[in-house]
Amino acid sequence: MPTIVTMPKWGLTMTSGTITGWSHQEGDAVSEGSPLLTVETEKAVDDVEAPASGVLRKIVANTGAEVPVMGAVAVIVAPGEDLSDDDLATLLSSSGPAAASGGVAGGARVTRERRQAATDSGGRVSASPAARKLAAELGVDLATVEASGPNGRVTSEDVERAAANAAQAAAAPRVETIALDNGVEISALVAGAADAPVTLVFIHGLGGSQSTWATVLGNFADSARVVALDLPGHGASGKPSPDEGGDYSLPALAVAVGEVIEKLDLAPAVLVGHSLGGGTALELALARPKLVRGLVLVDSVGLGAEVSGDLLDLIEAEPSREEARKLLELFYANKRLVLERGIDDMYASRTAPGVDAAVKAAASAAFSRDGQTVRYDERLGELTQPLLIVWGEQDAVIPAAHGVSAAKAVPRAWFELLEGIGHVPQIEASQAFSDVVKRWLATLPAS
Amino acid sequence: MVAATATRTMTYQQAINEALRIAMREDPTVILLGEDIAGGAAVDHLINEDAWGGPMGVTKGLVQEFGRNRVLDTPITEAGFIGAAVGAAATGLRPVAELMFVDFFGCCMDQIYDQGAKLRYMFGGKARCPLTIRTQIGAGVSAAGQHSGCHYSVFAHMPGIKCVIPSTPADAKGLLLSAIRDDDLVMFFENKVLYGTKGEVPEGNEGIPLGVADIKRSGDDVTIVALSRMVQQSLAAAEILSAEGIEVEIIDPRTISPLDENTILESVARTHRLVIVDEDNPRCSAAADIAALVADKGFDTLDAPIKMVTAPHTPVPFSPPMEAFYVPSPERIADVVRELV
Repeated sequence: MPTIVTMPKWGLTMTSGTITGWSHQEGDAVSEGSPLLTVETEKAVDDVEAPASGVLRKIVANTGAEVPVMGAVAVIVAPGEDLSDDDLATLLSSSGPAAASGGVAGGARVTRERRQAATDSGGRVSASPAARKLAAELGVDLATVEASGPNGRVTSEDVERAAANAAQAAAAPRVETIALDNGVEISALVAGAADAPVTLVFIHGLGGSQSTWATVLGNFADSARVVALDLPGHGASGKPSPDEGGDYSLPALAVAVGEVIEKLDLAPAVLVGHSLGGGTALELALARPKLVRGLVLVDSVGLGAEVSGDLLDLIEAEPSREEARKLLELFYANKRLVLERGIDDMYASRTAPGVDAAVKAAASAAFSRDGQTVRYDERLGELTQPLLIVWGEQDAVIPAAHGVSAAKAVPRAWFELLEGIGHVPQIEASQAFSDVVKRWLATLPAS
Repeated sequence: MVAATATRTMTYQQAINEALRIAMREDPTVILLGEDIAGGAAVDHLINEDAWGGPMGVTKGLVQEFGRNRVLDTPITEAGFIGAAVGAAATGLRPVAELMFVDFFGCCMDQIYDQGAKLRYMFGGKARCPLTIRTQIGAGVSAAGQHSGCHYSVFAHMPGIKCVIPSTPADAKGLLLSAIRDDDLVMFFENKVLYGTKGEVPEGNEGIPLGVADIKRSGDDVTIVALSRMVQQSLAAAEILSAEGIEVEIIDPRTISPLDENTILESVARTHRLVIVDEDNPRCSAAADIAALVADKGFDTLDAPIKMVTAPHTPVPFSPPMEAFYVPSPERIADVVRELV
């Protein structure tokens, strides 16, 4: 059976990707899992692996082409399989973003063209009784609804469609800015329906930003409200100077996250904290348990003494491309992920105004040359929330042993050790990471 | 799963005949009276001839089984024999009278509505009137203005009268058994155009409860409430519309007094659209009554105006082309449904 290779969706906001190169030509044998082409998006350059073994029958989109997510880029056939050009054309015409999204909605009934609703001389919209009732219930303004009924009458179906469109728009990813009580503005990527059964707040690590979660947010936004924020001093959030009162201690970061949860009305939320974000999440869960419904700690600080001396050296150094490369090499077990583009991004974010001072302040508040100075491992028994601990087995920044001992201290906790993965499982093993979080979320008691 | 009931194919007319036979076998107080229902004008030596059994032969064969004491030919005096039937009912029998054409109700309306229908009420429940009056309705056979009306709406208007309007052989049998067993005055309207239609009819003596509608066809787009023969016309319209992608739901109330309001309201709540198809005249009619019901109790479920497809406000014309125009056709029904979607 032929396999269509499609443009992957790597991030919540990714809509298309540009092909930067093919590692095979038409007619070449390919094996499942081996790199087939490279794709560049706004945020990253990465390989797309062959989804099946066989022969690369057809390259649909050449180097330089921009292809929408789920759009076809190539076709692989099984060894010896014969696929005529006609069959190929048929196969490709049935794929693509439109076909993937289910095509045209609705049954066979021919529906009238939608148009602006008719109004009387007084401006009263022509709408059926059922439409009026539903509009009142759903809070839909009839004047904004396109009519499909006879004589420009709005029907209940029209109201349902308008409400669904509005809900979809509300659930679409967007960046919100939240002003904290101390004046610092926090930037947060928000997606998913406000009435979703669970809300996830993602907190990045030292020197990072919400973009660290880009490859996993899309796995949750269908079933949860997701919020990925930039901590103070990071990403697009405000970066008050430590010399002028900027406080980057874990308790201060936790206060900021707590305020975001309150101001966006997210409580109780499941916190997903990576590294320094894990420590922030722990601090908040202990200080203000009512805001926190559950806790996911990913290669987290605060659970043991050790922390990589190399990390501290690199943080103390002046930011440079070389420093950025070494940081990435420290983070990833799979060195193939250390791409020039990623180094550029890391260097750019490290040298953005105010970041270096904030990162140095956060690091010195949490670590000393003797190791981690803020510890929660003795207080894990006070946690009341469900707990998931995820760790990359090859973590060179904070040893996985911290996760093992924390899991032992909290017998009800789930613990997932990801083999061959370094300090950033959400990037190195985004699917495995998402899967375990989803399985754990399914066990959460109803809020 | 309930075991499937055995059925037999029979006509609407045969189904009515079978119901009468079952009712007379199970209850010796059941008697029939009407014009020519035995046949032979009560001439004893003709009893074994293949008597008429009414003008349409609906009661054929019953006089042979049950005799002239229980199958009574009457003079052409509606006031007389309907009055006698009311009296018999009030004094212990369970008569089934045949009013040959409903158009003749004017001759016996005092007996029906001012006597029979009010007995139980005026005697505080101490008297009852277990009388069933069978009568023919419907245009379509060029029987002209005095033999072709429907007029069931007139009776549904009056308290104390139950109105049954079967559209299929199976409904005719089950509903007539329940009508005869009922302790109130029941008008049973048989559409003369349906007499020859065939259908599967359950064996046995089980009645169909009065006041329970039947969904004759399921669909999600438009609800059609159809009465009597208009069920068949609507089913034909449904085939036309289905080819266009419009799926109608057809509800047959089967009785318009009592009326199964919930089945109608529940269907309209799903389809948001209602068409009522009725061969009776439209003013102050069953169709208008059902429209008012849904406008009142189902207002917030409507996505389109309630439409009535009915005969015009005239007597039935004799001319065959005019008569065909008079009765709602599948094409007319389909046109109105299309206006709503």
